[in-house]
Amino acid sequence: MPSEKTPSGIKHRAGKSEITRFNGSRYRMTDAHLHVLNFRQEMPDPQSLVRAMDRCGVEKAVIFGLPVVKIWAEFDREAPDYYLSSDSRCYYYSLTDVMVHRFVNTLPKKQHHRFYPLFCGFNPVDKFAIRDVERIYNMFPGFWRGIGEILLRHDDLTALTYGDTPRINHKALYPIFEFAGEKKLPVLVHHNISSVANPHYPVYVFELEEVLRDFPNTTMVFAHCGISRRINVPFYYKMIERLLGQYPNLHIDISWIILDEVICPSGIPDKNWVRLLKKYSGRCCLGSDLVTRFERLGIELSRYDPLLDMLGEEAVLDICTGTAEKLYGKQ
Amino acid sequence: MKKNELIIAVGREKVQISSAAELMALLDVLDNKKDTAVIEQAGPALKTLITNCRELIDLCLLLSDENRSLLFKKMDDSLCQTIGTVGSLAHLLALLADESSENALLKVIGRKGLHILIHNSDDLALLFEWVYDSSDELLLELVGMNFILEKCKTGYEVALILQSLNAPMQKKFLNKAGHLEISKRICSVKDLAYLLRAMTNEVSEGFLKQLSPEVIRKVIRDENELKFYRTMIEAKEYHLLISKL
Repeated sequence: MPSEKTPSGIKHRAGKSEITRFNGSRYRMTDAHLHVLNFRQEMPDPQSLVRAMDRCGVEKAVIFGLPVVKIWAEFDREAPDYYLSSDSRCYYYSLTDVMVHRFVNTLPKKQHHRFYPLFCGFNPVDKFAIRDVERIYNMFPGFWRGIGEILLRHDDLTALTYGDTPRINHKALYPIFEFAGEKKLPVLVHHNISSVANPHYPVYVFELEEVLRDFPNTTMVFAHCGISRRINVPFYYKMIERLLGQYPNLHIDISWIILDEVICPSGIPDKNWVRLLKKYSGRCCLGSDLVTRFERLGIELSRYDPLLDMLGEEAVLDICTGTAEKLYGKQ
Repeated sequence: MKKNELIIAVGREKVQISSAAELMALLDVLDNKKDTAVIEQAGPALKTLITNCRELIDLCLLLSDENRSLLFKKMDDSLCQTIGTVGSLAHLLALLADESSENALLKVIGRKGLHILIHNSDDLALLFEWVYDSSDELLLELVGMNFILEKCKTGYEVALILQSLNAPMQKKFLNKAGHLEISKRICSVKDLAYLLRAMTNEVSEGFLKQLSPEVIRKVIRDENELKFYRTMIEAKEYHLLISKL
């Protein structure tokens, strides 16, 4: 989640010193991964997102809140603004979805079609969670286009969040996946493929596969392809290619650090990933993964240009807009 | 054009900026040389673009030392108001963590600004906690000893500042304050104990040697009264103190 502050004096690493990056990608896009609330559950002016989207050539955005909120602990001199800002814990926060609803409804009606809202404000390790899911879904009928981003295995965030370790094959999620399948709601999940202590092989891929097998009629979108900080699983593209080949209900989103760490580690796109993305472009979308801070939309999305330049017109159309439209565009 | 909207040109390209967040995003994609050009162009508009200390901190974290200094200069007399509170100033100083930037910041805020921000000894202590070496000296000079003594009515309050200074700075501080002024502020055992706790060994030794038995006897009638604070005071200091009773 690119909400991290840039360390003192160090500039954003991708690309040259160009004002054009501020204005976004050369390609028209749907941002398929955008948080409109931050870890304090603060919501910026929705018009500032519209303004940023217009400036950066982003026609539509898949938006959601954050299922957790950071505590301002007694020991924090300054209020934390990110989950890693201090050692304080996080807890699940249902109001986030209501805020997303408000976010969209604050905008003029003619702008509503540009947003595909998802809901995520439930505790994924509580077997009562399905009650909360049904409640929010029915509270705003016809509003939601999917469920997510559900934050499951997420290294430090998992450690900082109160409660049982959230994981994709937790039985509390099973009725939710069933519900999503019935309602044709895609489910966007963040589920680290490995743990920081065992970063060299995909320790938790079996948990993902268990769910993909158990819920073949539920569309899953695997956020950031399961990568996270300090995860260094080799042959990543082979694993993702196998998963996409094996499970037709699986989709991936290219966002956050997967581009810099795995797909373009030295700034040049890996040829295996280029081949994979061309092959499965219809099941791949991309996003900024901004946590508010909409003014950075251009910077985040222009990072994809060197990769997109190598994919060809058809794949670019799929990845930039088509897949997201197919996943979230249906009412 | 919207209120507060600013057009910045970098080379042949132009961009519209209407908030500190947008300015930060722009500076993030430019190199230091272009940052300078952007700050120069933004000029007086920075005063309205940067509305709070959080925004100022975020901008500072992106800039080189030279550009931070330039930003502070351009913000000029609005800097103090933008920072708003001593807590925010301390946070900014903590994050800058660089003497030249800290000095540039303190110079622009100046004595007048510091006196507006600082309300009590806790505020002073918070600022001294986050500056070092030449910035310690500059802060001391800018705030002024008379102002410090006005805000610190007890030895305990003086100790809050002393504990953030290294030995040479503690000596300078005590010299500037004058032994008499510090002695006047020792009104209880607590004051004396906290002063000794804050001072380094070499400083406390000199301090105790100068301290008159009358001042000590005023707050400690017998050894028992030191019992509660005994653990705070080092053995050498303790013996020196008792010998003067």
